Amino acid sequence: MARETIRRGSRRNFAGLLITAAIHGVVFLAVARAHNQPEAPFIVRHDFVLAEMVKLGKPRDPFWLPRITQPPRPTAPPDQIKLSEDPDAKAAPKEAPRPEDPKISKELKNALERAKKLEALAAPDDDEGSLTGSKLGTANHATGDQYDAQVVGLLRANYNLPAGLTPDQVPIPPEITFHIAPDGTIGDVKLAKSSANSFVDDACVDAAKLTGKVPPPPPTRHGMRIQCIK
Amino acid sequence: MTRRLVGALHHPRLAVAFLALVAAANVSVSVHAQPPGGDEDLPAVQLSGAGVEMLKLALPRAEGDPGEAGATMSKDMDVTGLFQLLDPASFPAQLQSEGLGFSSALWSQVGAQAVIKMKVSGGVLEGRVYIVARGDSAVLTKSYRAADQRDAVHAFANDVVKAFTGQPGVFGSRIALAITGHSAHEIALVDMDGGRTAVVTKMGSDNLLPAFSPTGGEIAFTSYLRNNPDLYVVSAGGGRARRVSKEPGLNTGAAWSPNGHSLALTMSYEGNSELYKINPSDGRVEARLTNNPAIDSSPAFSPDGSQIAFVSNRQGSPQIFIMSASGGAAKRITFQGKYNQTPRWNPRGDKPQIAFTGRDERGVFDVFILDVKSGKIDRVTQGKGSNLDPTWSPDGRLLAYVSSRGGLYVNNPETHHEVQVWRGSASSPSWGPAPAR
Repeated sequence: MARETIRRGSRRNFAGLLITAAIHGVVFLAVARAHNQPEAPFIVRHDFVLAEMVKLGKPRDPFWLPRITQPPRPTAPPDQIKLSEDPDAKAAPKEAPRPEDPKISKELKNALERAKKLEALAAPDDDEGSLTGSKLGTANHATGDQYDAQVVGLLRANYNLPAGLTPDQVPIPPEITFHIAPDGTIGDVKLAKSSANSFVDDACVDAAKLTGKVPPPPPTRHGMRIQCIK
Repeated sequence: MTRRLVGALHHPRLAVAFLALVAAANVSVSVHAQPPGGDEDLPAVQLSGAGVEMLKLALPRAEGDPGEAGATMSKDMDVTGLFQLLDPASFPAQLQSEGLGFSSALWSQVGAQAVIKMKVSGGVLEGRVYIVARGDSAVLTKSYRAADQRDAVHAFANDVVKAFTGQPGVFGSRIALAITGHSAHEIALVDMDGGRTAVVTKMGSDNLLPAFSPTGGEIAFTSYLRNNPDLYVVSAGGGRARRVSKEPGLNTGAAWSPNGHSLALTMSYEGNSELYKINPSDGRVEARLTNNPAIDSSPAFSPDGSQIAFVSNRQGSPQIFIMSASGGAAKRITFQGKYNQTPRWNPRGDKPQIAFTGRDERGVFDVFILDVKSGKIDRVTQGKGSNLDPTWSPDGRLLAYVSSRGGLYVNNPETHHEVQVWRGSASSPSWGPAPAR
């Protein structure tokens, strides 16, 4: 009776071992297979934002025809240029008023006065924009992942395609990849997919190279892949 | 403890659970242990909204050329609005004496992206185009022979434009204008680069509003020769003009249909200014297109001939409307500004655009482009006097217009590069077809 019990027990142990070994084998095979399979792209969760930067000013009446947005006018240099930091330096002598040039004709004087009046009439345009915009806003906007949007916004400033390109000349949009160092420095810019138009490829590569540096990336980010479209 | 664990493993269910745990841990470790994926694995982010850059072009002195070929090519390249011409004074002597050969390394130091070389000898113009980034071989090598050297240079310029944009240029095409003489306005033809001017009519009367036929063989215009604004047609080569429409009142502002079989114009013989379609050979009225108590004028056919854009004040101020080329209901398409006129369709069928003259809130006339599909209006000119009467180049890339600054200007709306091509007093330009190739 006792022998039978032992025999039965040893059979059960043997079967258990066999099952365990089989399961081990199956699991290890599955793990090995999973390792050999190509890894799916690691997709970072995207937090979508819509950011729009618009110029501060009085909103333009939409009834009127549009105006070409001009870059901000450079401010005039100060009237007096500080040449020396020496507080004891003597002030420069005032220039004596120049005598009136007798050669200047009455007509020329009138013409100069007229020119001054015309200049006054052509006063700089009022700033047009949004009541809630920023002073330096340029009315560009970006959508997408917050970090991507920041980088793309910076790249856009350096992304210039040659004039006169027709869409059929760029059937495939070029793609570039680059590395982003922890401090935001762009490096290792590579053309990953060519458009078959060297000017368009160069424009895409130059956008990254000329930008040079972007904000420090999130810890999971080490690079970017950019597709340049018109 | 170990013995207990081993013993527990002998139980099948426990063993399976344990192994599953080990496997899960193994997989998890394998993901974290993997070095960060290469950049090529990342999803591509789209970069759009590119700015437009003019290509930096070097044009060294042509070999064997006293200066005319180089000057013509320089003007042509400037008019395209595609290129930023580098100052030849900045080229080192080594590059000036390079001949038709090319060293990409040296030209890249000058900042050139492309170089055009020419050689003139025995009435033959040899032209080469080099792209600095593509090495020392020419991307275009071609010889041109023409009775007039300007024509040879224009032909080369057209090929240069094609080499960079895929579409040939339109040099050799002409623009018809009503030029102001001492006491009258005559119709004249000006090369698109302003190089040559030929007066077509010598009628000694006010001749206005020329319109090139689609083949370029004829020009329709309005003349006050017989004290009534009648419609005439004259050969582009000059000669006697024939009076096509002499109805009492207005016979003005003609536009050719794209097939050249009919003319749309404003006539008032029925009392009010309406649009009509007539036969260009005998002036027979084919159809009355509008029927409205307001003033309808300035018709312009769409490139496929199916629609007509025109100006009407039927809703108060002059605005642009479109309707079927056979007449019928009209749809207003401009809603900005108080005074929009002279609509002209872009001849490119794939770009439904209309250029027009608009008066802004300061009372200044400027040139605008309306995207017919979206209704979006882009401004072409601003802050440089009044600019009027736009006309598209046959390839739909350039706009010519007259300005209060004097003369005729050509503008590339993509780059906003503007060149004065002709000096003088003129009105209502009409750009003729592209030259035969």
